[in-house]
Amino acid sequence: MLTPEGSFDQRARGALATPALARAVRGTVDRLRDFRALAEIDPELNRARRAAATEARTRAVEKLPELLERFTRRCEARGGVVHRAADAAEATNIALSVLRQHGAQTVVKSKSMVTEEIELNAALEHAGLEVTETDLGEWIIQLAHEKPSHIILPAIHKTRHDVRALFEAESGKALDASTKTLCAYARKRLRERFLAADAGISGANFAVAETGSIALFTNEGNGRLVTTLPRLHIAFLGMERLVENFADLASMAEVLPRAATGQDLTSYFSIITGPRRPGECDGPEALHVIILDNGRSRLLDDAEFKPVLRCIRCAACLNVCPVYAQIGGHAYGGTYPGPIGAVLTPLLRPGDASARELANASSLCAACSEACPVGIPLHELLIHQRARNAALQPKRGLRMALRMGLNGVRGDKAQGTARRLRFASRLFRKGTPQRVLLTRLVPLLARAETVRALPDVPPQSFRELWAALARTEERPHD
Amino acid sequence: MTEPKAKANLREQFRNALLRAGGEYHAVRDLREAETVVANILAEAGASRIVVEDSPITRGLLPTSSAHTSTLAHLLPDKLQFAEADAGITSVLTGIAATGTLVLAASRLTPRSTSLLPPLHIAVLRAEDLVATLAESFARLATHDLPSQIIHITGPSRTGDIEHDLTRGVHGPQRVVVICLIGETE
Repeated sequence: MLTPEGSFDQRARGALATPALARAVRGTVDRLRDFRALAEIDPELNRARRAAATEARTRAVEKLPELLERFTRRCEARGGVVHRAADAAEATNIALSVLRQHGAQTVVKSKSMVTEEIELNAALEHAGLEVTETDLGEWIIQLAHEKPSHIILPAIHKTRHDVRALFEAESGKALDASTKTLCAYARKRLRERFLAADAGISGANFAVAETGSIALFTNEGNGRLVTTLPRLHIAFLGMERLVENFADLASMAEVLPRAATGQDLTSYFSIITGPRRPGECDGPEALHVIILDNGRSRLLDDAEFKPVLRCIRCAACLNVCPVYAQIGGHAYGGTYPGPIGAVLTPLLRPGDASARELANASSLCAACSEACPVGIPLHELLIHQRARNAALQPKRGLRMALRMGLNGVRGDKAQGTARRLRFASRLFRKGTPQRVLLTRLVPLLARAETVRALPDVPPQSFRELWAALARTEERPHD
Repeated sequence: MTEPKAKANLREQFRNALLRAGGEYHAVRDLREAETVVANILAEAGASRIVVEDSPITRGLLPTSSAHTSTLAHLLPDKLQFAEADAGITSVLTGIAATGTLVLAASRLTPRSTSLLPPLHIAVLRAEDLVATLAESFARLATHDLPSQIIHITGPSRTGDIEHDLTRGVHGPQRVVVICLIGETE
């Protein structure tokens, strides 16, 4: 398990002290956000697509045990082997034993967040296997010995110059920093690995219960190579990623690429049903599907947080989150960054106090909930998480403070409080000697001001403006 | 809308979506015209080693000139030869007009690698196999007997993983060229 250094607060501060990070991340997430807006530009069509997808995912979560059972039966009827893993250790052990059973030494991987979650690569390398990530972003991250910082663009925090440095170190040759050269180098180098690999390991965007198929949405083509060239294919699947039938899969295809990258459909969308059939000259001879629980089934009985199981990992919530744009993905300290990570990480690691802090990694602006194509009320779940965190805190002092604060603004006292507040904030307006004195006397205020400045009081209050406006309206027209 | 008009609309929609996704489109009347167009594309691309799928509409496109060596895909003894090919020519199960998508199914005569390993993919699509949406294409599949792999291809391979700068052909083909067989009657 990843043991991030320091608290969320410290990591976020570290990220904020690296302006280049925010620059790299911000530009890209803004572009992704705009692409999505264009792809979802027809409001009626968009509403209909989201409603269908939300219904399909909600139904799948409701019927999950039954769908898992049906998927397993159908997949095995087509020659696949399905394994269930309760946790990370069990999942990596299953993968290792399947790889050993097939005498596999070299592994090519396509992007899979589940394998990040269980830290599969470290386990395979520890066992002496050679593992190559082949998604361009994932390969960059692997060469840099880092974790992905975005769900669909793992190397979003790297510039082309960072990438050139990594590729030059890998190749021992000089390369220019154009994306064309860098991509061409990756194609050539990774092609050798694809052709030589004994096993391919992929994730799965969805599994279809009706047919026992797994579905993969990709753009680069490495997902196809991983599931076509090696003689063994192992697919990892989060246990909640089931859909009931092909009609539901079509609903997923309508929303996932649009929400993720603003494409109508990804370059490649593969539906895999069992290993290669007799007489076929390519495709894997064996297909194993490892279904990971790792805390997910607990959420089936958690009425408040169950909706999070609908997530299709499109990352739309990351791309609109003002907090993510500032601090990037690593500051979240888990596998899943952004709003979905802030909700999911503490649920997957209930004993981890530092994961619970992530509930504060939000301004509760609700942009995440609005962006979600399957209707997960992310900001409400963050509030639930805060409430659970608060319930763990000693309560007495907080209650008293709340009572005092609320009494101050209750009922007819509110106007008087507002008047006093206005008087006080005018008195202590920025730049006045009283203000300087106040921040010296109250160091906490000075610290708070480095993060968020107290707003200046406008010369006229809303009530005064309103009264003036009413007077103007009453005046007869000339 | 009259039937020929509806069909023409479907083709137009397919073409526009394909071009948006970065693919290329040629409409031809018959297989003889297809042969000429394919020969030109291969010559322009400087492609000499060609892999061709053994289907009724692609078999005839096996280039015969001495500038090429071409092989039937399923007869290739191993994947290295797919990897060395300059172009792969395939048939298409269905075309999806809404997204410009090609639907291919793996089988004994239609290996997965033909549309994957060579840098240039030429796909021959019969206009009558066009459908409007993915859902319609799914409805045509016999879900009780699916092929080992169904692949939906929408334009060339692409990545945005370096500074979100769109780059083509990172692992799959750099070019996807669709030859649409319209037929004599229209």
